[in-house]
Amino acid sequence: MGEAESNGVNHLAYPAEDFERFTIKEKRPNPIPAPASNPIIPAPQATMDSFRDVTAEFFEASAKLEIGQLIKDPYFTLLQAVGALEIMDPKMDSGMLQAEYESFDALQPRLPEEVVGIMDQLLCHEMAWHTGSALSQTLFTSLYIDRLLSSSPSTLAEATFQRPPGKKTDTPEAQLLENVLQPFCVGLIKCCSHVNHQILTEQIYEEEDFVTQVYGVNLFEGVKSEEIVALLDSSLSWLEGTGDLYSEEIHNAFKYRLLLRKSLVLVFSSETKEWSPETTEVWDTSLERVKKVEETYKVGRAVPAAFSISVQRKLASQVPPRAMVNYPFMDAISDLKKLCVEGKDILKILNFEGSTNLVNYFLSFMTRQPAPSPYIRSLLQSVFFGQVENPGKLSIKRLLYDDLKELCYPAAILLDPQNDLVEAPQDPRFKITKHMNWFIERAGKSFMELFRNICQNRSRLRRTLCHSILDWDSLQVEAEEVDSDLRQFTNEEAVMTPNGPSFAFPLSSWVYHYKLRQMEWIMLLGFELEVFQTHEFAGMYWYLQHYTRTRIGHIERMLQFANRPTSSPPLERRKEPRSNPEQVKTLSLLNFYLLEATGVQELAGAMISLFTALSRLNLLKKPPQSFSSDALRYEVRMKPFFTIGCPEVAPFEDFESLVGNPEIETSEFLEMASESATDARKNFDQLCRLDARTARVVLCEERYRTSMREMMRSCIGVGVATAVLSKALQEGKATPELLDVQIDRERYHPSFSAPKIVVKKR
Amino acid sequence: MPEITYAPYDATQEPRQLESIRTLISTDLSEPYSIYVYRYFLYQWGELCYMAMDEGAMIGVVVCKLETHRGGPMRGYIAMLAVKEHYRGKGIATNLVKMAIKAMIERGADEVALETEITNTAAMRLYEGLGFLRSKRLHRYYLNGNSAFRLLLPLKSQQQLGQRYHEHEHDECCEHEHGEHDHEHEHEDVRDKDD
Repeated sequence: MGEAESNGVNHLAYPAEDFERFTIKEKRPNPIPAPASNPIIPAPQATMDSFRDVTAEFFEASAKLEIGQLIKDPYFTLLQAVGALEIMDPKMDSGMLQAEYESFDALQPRLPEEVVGIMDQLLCHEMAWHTGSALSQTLFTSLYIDRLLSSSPSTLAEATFQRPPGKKTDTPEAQLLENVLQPFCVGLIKCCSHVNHQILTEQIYEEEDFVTQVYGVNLFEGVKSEEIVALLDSSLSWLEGTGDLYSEEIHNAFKYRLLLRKSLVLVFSSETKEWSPETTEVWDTSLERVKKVEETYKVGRAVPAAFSISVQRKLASQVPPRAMVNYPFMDAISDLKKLCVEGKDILKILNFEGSTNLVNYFLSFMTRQPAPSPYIRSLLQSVFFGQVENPGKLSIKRLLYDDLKELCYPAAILLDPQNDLVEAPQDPRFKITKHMNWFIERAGKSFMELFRNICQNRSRLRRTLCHSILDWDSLQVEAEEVDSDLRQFTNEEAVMTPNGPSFAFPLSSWVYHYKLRQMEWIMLLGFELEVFQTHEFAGMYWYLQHYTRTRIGHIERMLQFANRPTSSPPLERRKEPRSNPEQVKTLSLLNFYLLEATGVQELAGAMISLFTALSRLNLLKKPPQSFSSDALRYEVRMKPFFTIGCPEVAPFEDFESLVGNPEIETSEFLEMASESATDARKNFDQLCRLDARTARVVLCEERYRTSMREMMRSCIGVGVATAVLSKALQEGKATPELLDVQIDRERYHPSFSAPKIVVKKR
Repeated sequence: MPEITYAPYDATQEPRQLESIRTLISTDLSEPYSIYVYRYFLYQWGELCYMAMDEGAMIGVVVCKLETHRGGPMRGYIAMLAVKEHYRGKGIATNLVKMAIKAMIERGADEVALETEITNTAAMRLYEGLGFLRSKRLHRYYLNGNSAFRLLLPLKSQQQLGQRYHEHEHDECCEHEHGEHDHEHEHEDVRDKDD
């Protein structure tokens, strides 16, 4: 067999630094307890009396074992086995590392260019940490930072490079280190402390997104940010006072690095609760300074000797020595620019533009490429939940009612604020309040969870959605009951439909719509994350279409009820216009959803037809699959959906014939694909031209337009592929010997990569 | 080229074989495993380990385990697979994995799982060629920051199995289904952070 095994190796993943910490972080006010002491200083020793030499006993006992025999405690897990070290093996025992930090002289003279180079290397390490690497492999490898922190300073005065006693340090070189590099490092460490606090405040996954481990090192927890800002200010004044000691280039390089550090301390330390849509200045200033740092990058000269992994021997002694992360400067700069841009962008959610706009903001924010960093995703949660949990700002009730009202246009009495004032238990309004309060509590929790889930990385989001649809499914059943109960208080009259009399079921309708959307997202993410392989595409697009089509049916049902004349129930005999603004808003939203869902349905339809044709023509290279069966694999694929009440998973045999449609000719499939792609394109063309308010993307219009353009490109790509294949089929050239199918993921919407059909070179 | 022979791991030959296995595996690792990791597998599931030999020299190995996965299915797990560079591309890894899977089937496996780096297309082609399915993607699963796919090979119908677990393992099942984030606390497989 070809090159299939050229690298056919898989192995276990190592546990990261400290597997005791696999805990999810709940919201806690003070998640990081300030460490009492630095581990570098040995803890008070136990008295020698408590030790007993067991060497002889140990050898005696181990001699009784067979070679290879394992005496294993039932609770000794694989994880612990993988975490075990062999002492004195240099590849495993970080204690074997040469302790370079001991001989490091932090005040050894450096050229000004070298100091710039060290500052830039520190920035690279900082951003590598932001992207998920451990401190032990990034910032903590800096021997300057080690020197600053190894004496466990609790005040700024103690945070120094530790001038050796009696040594003369009034040379210009030493002054530069103490007046520029030292304050810069102090500011950097404080930034890390703030970032760590932020990450621990919200839901961000330890290890997979971010490593919060600080190895017991105190990151100036007790020092106020104001003091650090003042320190950086005095550093800047010192620099001003040096006159023309340094060239203008060097002088500016120092200045902008210190200024950037100062604004980052201000950004990271500011209270999200105090932010307003106008708090954009800190972000803008930071961004400007990042650009200045970038411009002066060439001045610096790298100093590899200022970094060493040997610091790990005192930090993370339970894990093998791990390589220093090499993060390119340009990546660090672009990360930091992105952080500033996105940090500012988040402030938009402080302008409440309605719940639908808010949900769309979250959804579109997370489709940004490259993905927003863990810090920003954590910040988005803080800014949002800061609003929700702040009385008088954006309560869960307000958010939920707004969403419900816009989607379902329920009978006015259900959401009437006057209901809360009724105290007589026999009054229907009192009963309504009771039921609605249940809904706020129950659905509000799931709704809030949804916001949080969207902020997770995409792989995590897909897995979380697979669980959360179960919650929404039971919520739907519960809400249906409440809807039925509420009818006796609202005196809702049945609407005659072709299927007989029917009621609005506003609460469960709302739940059902969100449930279906999440089911669609699971499918869409399956394509985006490449969980689905090309030979599964036809079937998986079939399910996407199935769920979207189900939702279209549901939207049409909701439209029917939203369209009903607003003759108020007897309880509410107020004069209302035939069509009030709220009704208009609901109709507009439902029509928008209809347009969008129809576009997706058509494009999915085009994909089903095209990929079915490709599969029939043996162009998809389905692997041999010597074990298991398609039916069993189908079960694995559909596992998250089996317990969902509605819509149900199709039995495998039905699924096969529904997707494969044996009675349809391949050429007909291609005609269908072409038609669907054209129809889809018309829909997306229309969607492209909608104004932001109609599309509910007031907070994220640019991202919406990009996404719609991607969809258009996918429609066009599918159309082109279909045309190429049709032509080849007509000419009798649609064979695996002559054609090759490539999936181009770059140019299209991440969930709708159009295949590229290429004539093989002979 | 002389013929490659395959042999199941023989516990009585441990001192000699274990060293060869370690050498083979650790070549591809940034960090070596301690001896306990090998013994963890070989002592408990030696019968699921197969070796490929070229005239007495070990040139390929597969190491596995098989146990109940969270009170649910009997899950086989392919922990390590390595073939000496010079011998790659000859179907040796595929043969080793096939032998391991057959041994797991004989011992009642309901499914077989493993993780692989998303960039390791060769490994994915190997496993997918045998019938494995990408069941989920795990963000930054490896120390180098790479993500992984969990690959799963179903051997028995889960629908029918599901029934069985509910009868016998009720408590554990409930715990997993209802705890909001309890999958975070699981360590059955290494860094196996969810079901």
